[in-house]
Amino acid sequence: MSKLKQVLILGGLVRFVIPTVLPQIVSILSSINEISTPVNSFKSLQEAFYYLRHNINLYDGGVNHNPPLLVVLLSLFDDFLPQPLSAIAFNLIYTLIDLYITTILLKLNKWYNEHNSKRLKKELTGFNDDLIASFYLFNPLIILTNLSHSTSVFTFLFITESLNQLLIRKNVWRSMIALGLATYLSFSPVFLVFPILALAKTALFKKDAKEIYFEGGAIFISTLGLLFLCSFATTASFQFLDSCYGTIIMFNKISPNLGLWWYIFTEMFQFFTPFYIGIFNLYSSIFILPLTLRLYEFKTTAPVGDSFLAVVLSYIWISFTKSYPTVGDLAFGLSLLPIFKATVFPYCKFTFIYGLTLLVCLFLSPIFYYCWIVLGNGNSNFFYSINLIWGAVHIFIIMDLLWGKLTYDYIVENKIPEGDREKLRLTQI
Amino acid sequence: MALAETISRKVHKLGLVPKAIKLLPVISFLLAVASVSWLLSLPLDGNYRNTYISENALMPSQVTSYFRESEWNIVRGYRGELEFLEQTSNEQRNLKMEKWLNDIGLVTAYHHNGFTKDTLYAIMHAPRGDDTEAMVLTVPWITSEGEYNLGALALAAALARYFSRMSIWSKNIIFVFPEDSHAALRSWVAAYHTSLENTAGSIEAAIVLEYGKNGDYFDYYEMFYEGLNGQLPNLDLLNTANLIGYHEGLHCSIQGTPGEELTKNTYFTRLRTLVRGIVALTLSGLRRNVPGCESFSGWQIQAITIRAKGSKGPHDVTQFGRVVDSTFRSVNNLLEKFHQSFFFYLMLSSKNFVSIATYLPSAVFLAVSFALSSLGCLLNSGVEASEFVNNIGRLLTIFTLIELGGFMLSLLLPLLTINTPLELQDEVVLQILLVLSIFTFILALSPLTLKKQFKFFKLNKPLTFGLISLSLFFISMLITTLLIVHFSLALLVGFLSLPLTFVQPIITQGLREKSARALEEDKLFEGSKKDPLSQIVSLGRADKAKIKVSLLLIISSPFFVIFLAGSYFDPENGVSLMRGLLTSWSELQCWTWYVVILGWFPAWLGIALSCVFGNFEVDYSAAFNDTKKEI
Repeated sequence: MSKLKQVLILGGLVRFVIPTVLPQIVSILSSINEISTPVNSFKSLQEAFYYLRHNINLYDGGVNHNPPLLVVLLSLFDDFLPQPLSAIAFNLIYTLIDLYITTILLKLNKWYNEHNSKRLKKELTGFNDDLIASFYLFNPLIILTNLSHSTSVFTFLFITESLNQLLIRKNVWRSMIALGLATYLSFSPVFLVFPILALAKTALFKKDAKEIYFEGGAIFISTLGLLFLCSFATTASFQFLDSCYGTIIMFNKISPNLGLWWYIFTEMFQFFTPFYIGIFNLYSSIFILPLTLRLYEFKTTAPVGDSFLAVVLSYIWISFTKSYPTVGDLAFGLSLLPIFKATVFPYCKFTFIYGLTLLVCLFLSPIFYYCWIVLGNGNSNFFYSINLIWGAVHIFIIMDLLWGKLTYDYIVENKIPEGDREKLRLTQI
Repeated sequence: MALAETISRKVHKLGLVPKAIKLLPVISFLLAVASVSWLLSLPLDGNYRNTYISENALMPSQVTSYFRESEWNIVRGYRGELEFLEQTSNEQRNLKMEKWLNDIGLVTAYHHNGFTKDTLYAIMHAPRGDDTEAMVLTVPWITSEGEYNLGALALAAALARYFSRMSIWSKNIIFVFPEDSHAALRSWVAAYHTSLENTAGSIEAAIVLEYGKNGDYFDYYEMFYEGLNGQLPNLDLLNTANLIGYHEGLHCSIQGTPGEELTKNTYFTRLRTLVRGIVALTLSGLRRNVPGCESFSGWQIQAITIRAKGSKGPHDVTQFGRVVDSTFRSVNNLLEKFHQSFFFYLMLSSKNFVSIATYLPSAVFLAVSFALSSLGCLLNSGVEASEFVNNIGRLLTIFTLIELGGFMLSLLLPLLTINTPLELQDEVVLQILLVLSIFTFILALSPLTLKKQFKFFKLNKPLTFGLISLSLFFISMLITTLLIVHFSLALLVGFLSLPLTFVQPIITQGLREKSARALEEDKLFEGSKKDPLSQIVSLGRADKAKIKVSLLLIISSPFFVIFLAGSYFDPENGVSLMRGLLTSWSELQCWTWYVVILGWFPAWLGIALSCVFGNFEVDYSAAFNDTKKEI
């Protein structure tokens, strides 16, 4: 048995056997605020199933924030299978999704190295398949997210599927449909449309740029429109727009999470709220275009820029500015990073520092939450201080990757020989 | 990034990185020294603060307490009756007390805990409140010193009578009479929040009273405040009680300060209180004779224990009652839960404290010290980074296995202890401790005695260094995670396992010296062919390194420390600490045992195993070059 198969089987078993043997683990994990939030917890999804079964409006009571089509489709498993079987069916679905994401990551890794080998006219070797797979499948944060049956797993699936359709199948339309689905599920992937379209331009050299952008944009918008219409048809009201996306845009659910914003809405004066909402929404989109443009692979110049990196960096930025982030959001971004092993990664200098920071942050976050909520001897500042560090880790990662990329571009542009690269010290590019 | 880049340029220019890497063990040691000196500097003037009342609503000792000499006769009357009850059974005592409380008009009920005698409790519903908040006065029948709690029981009955005649109460008052203040009280507190039928709302504060057979007069009072698992009551409650005591002219002793030194406040008395406080907080719940206030931990209840000491005077029993009365009246004023003052503090005397921001750096230094020595162990090993990466899977497997072993022990040993009858428990605990100590001794002495051919498995070089490094890093993370929740445990585990950071530098140093000598004797090429570890036995000076390592391993072994500390705190019965560790989870939900067995022990075992089975072989050419440079 090859190493890759071993990794896949073991990773699959962890995801399938644990929740099957210990069914309570799903509800325990979906109550932990670092792992799942009101907008993506499995508990609220189950609540929505109950509403659907009893003909109650899905968005009554403000518990459910999942889009109607997801609820309706997943409730089929709940309705047509008896109790223990439906739980097992869900375990199986979530396991298969993660395995599918892994196989796409493998393909993306291969594509990236081939693509850049061609551009840079030298052989680049990335990590082996088994390592790339284990970075995703054995990432404890991804495992926890998966075991909690958080609905963000579906978002991960459609984001990777969008990249898969674009880079492997070379089909912009289907890529945009997948991204539209991801956006429909959790709103924030909407910002990925810019870097992904930029990537489409570089991945498909033959096509005309305008054609790609217009077609892609149109398909994306019409996918969303169609999905909204279907949702309207199933629920007979547009209330879902407010419950699913309004909650995200307006930061309505201010229960503590890993994000940077809940604290501001709970602890600050009410009359600042509209200002903050504006600022935070601006923030979540403002760096997407600059990142995309800075890393755009222009045809005319030397082979600099990296549109795929732009997608990943934009994703990490979104995870940073999200209104309801979880550990899984960052972890998904982190498991994309090994793909850059041959290009950007050797020039990242601070991996050790932010690795440690991330570790300490993950240890202290639940402890401070416990001190605040259970013991009563801490307060919200304790927990929020860790959220700030959590945000700082995102920024560290983005800055380090960007600087690594710029250094690499400088080396490529100025054709600095292999031996001098070690000595190269750049202060400004 | 530009700034970082500039700094890193400067660092490269000056060649600081290689120098710093060489000096990492020294830097790590210096940080440990800094940690100790930080702690020692806390009792210096300017580093600590005077206590103050932070919550204005408390207004301590602003009202005149009417629990005065007129009530003394009532206390005496109850005490006279209670004297007869000393020899009777618990049921009869409770019946008598219940009758008194019922006569006053209180609702009484029993808590049947199933493992020891029943706990009587009485609720006085507040005349003015909305019946949602309560204060608790706990009087165990037997004090933590094993004495019949005569004075406090009489006082409680008199106070109940006195309280019921006042109309000012806006919080319910609960009187609890457990058999002792250990598991019986803890199970009452747990039952109050889960299963009891007669309850009186959320408990804001609790006072445990201990006043043995001191008679009418006492000299001063002692205060206990340590909760379980590093928790402390809000500093406002302590200050309130202390301020009231101060206005009554009473002296308060904390952390066992003897009576004649209560008026002293010097550097050394403060340091003694600080150190005793840290030890007491670490060991809280682990000893049999607990003061009782820790039973309220974990339910957001602020609790203290006060105990009258001496019988000569000048203070009388009603003054002790007035402390309770005035404290309750202060708490009664509260509109919110205790939140204003500190929850994390270390007391230096009853009137001085250091807050978290001031004392935290000492544990942070310690955590960084472990992290740096872990890093130093990797960087000074002479092993390529890629080799570590290649071995990381095996390394994690070994450590997980060690951790699994710890996990099995952590579950099995308490089960074994709890399931033996009470009389035999000490016997069983002694055997457990002996077996574990012998195991650690054998393992610690193995590097000294075990010959190469007896090593049934060997770790390669990256694994050896990786395991030591991982273990040290593990301790560093353990300290970091416990930093806030249980500062004193983090600090003590850090100090006690500090010798582990010296293990790798000493071994490497020993081998280097040996190879340098071999160079002198021109035997370099002969020596490099054989395993250096097996050769060390024949060389006197390098042997010292092994003796040092064995000693370090012994003194940092958790079970050795538990044995020593147990015999220090309880000379007659040295196993009491171990027994406390094994039983404290099931009796009091105190998780110190799990920190020891899942945190400290695996790290120790990892380092001990790599000392015994590891391969520390130094690179002879590197050693050669170093020696040449030095010459």
